[in-house]
Amino acid sequence: MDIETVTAELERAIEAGDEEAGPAAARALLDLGVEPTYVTSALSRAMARLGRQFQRLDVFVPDLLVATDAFDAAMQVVEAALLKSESGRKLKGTVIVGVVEGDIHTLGKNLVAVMLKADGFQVHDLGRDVKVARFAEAAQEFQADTIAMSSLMTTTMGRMKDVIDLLVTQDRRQRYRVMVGGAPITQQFADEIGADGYAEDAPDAVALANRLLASGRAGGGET
Amino acid sequence: MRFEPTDRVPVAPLLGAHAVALAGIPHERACQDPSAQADALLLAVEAYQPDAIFTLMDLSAEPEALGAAADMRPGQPPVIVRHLTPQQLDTEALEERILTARVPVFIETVSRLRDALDDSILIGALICGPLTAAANAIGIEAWGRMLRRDRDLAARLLARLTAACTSLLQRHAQAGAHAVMLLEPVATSVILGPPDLEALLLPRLQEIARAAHDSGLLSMLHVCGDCRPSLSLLADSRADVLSLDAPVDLPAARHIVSGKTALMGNLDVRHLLPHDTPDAVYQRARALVFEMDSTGGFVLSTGCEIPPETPRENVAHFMAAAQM
Repeated sequence: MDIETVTAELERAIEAGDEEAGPAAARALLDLGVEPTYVTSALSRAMARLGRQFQRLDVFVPDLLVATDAFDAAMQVVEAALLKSESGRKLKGTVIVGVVEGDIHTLGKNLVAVMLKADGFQVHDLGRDVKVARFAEAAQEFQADTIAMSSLMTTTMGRMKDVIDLLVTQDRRQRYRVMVGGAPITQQFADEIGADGYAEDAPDAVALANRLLASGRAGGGET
Repeated sequence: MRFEPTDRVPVAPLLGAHAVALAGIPHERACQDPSAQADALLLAVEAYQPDAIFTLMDLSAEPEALGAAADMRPGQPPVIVRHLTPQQLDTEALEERILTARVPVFIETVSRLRDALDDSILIGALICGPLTAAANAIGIEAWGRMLRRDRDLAARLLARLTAACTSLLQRHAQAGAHAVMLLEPVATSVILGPPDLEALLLPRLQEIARAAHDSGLLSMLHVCGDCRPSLSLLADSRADVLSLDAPVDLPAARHIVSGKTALMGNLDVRHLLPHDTPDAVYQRARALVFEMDSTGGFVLSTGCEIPPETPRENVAHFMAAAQM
């Protein structure tokens, strides 16, 4: 098969959540001699297309979940090749993501993490029930430029403000762009706590991260 | 709710978490102590004079009874911290198992409410619907993957949970409930699209509504979030009342459901109720009453349970919008 056909098969497999065909097509592309970044671009296109379908409600969360599994499986094939590649993959920036302290609902955070990764961001997933101080520590540890926080409960959403306040106290707020999301979160809430942006869903989080990146500034408010 | 004439629009907010805070009772205690929960709800009845009172919303009670592990945290609703495997849920024992752990707390709460209140106020039991009970017991991500990779198992689990929900609603009927409200936040359209809802969940919702009616209960269904794409299907659930969240435009929804079910809702509990002014709450509630109250079949309520931090004055202004 030629490169074009295999690329189409890779993108189809990702969108269909096919955990076997996805990595197989990624391997086949590498065997055909393409650069690893060619494969990651195809993966990004597939995930972005799926994100648009999700926002139109043509596909639903279960479809995203199986697609992220196929994406992860294909990325495992490509990552080894990326390490050996001279060009490597140009990453857009480093994002740490996590569910705030007291909250263990990870669905939205997990989707955001994979879709950011698919779009070319370096993502460090802190998991769930992440303490306020851990967000600040991890941002420093991973030299992140963006902090993305999720909360599904009204009782825990206040922790997002605590993270921002801690960064202010540490005089590090301007180093990071802060994104927030989750069922009870609104743009108004994001504005009130001093976040740089609010995302309604995972594709929206990718768009927001790109907007913040394009704004060319670190934290302190979206322009 | 039965499309019969009333002298004013009925008002029935989901007061649970706010009631518990109003009573100064730790949330986790109200989830474990029927006396504390009933006292808090009765205090709210006294304070606001609603037309219905519902038990506390707790989406972990049924999953915990089914075998998942829940964690109690001070001042917060319990959360599931260890899920079951789908195979552990695939058993006929669910009908008995769902009546264990903290679920009896809610049945006993209904009983205490019935003892304390006369028939002028509707007593409603909130229970997890079959989809939400299954998804919360095995984890929502596991549920989503199963839906795409093992649809037969997903369908079988929904059937088993439907039998369990039926068993539970019968206990609530025996305890004196007038209504049972199935909580199905997982049926929100981004998670469960209309095709899956129609094929897998709708027949089960119809089955449960029929069982509720057979037990002499009013059947209510609550779906959180934006379920506009699924409204016409939800209208076929045979629920007497469809309780909808703030993202849904209720006047538009009324055209879609076209008299198949009464509608209940839907003031925003994310920002408006807890954080806006009493006057803003009153004006929005009045506008909704004005928009919806011409043909009956409408209950003024909140889009979901009122958060504990909501000022009492805001709730009072919400109630006044219907009671004037």
